[in-house]
Amino acid sequence: MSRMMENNFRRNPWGPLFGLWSAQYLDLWKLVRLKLNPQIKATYQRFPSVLPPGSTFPDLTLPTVEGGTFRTADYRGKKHLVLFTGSIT
Amino acid sequence: MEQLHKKYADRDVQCVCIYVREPHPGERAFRQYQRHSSFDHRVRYAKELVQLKAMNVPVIVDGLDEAVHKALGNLPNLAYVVDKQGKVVYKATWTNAEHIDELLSELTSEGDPSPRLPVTIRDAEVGTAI
Repeated sequence: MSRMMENNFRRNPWGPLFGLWSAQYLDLWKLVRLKLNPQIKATYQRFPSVLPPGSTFPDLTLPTVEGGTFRTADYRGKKHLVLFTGSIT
Repeated sequence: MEQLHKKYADRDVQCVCIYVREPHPGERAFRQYQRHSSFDHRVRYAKELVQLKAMNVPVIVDGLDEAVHKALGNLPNLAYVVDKQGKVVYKATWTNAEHIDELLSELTSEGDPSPRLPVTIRDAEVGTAI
């Protein structure tokens, strides 16, 4: 589990060519600005203290794309949950 | 994450993708995708994501105010694993299927009989991080 904790503090990987590969599909200057943005840096620094391992995960209720409702409380005592964020871009 | 979802489908694990803000709207390869202007707009993009990535993982949509995303840390590619008791057992700034696979095999079987995911499965299957 200690290795898992270590991952909490890892920044996004730069990827191949020190991240320059991203320039093929992203705005390179925006990417640089984001990497240097102190607010973004602060968000990453704050992340380990947000819901740290061992804390109780809050009850979330969100709509699904199919029009249903997803509640984390429905899974308590029944299933482990893997939640990850996603987007197109 | 799709393969992870398939692998653990019958082992008391539920994978869920939370559709959040677009981190790179209007950029080079994403000119057609703009910032969400309404919740309907967001749901439309979420449905498009499901189609584009042929996702079987359930996708839930965070509100336009990003309340849930902010509560979870507000990073574009974060991941959490929550055990059956509702406790956070893993969190990461970047979704890494291999790490999650390792953890899930510990959580679910205490001696995982099935093979690990191939190393080629990386975290960036869904979305792109800054």
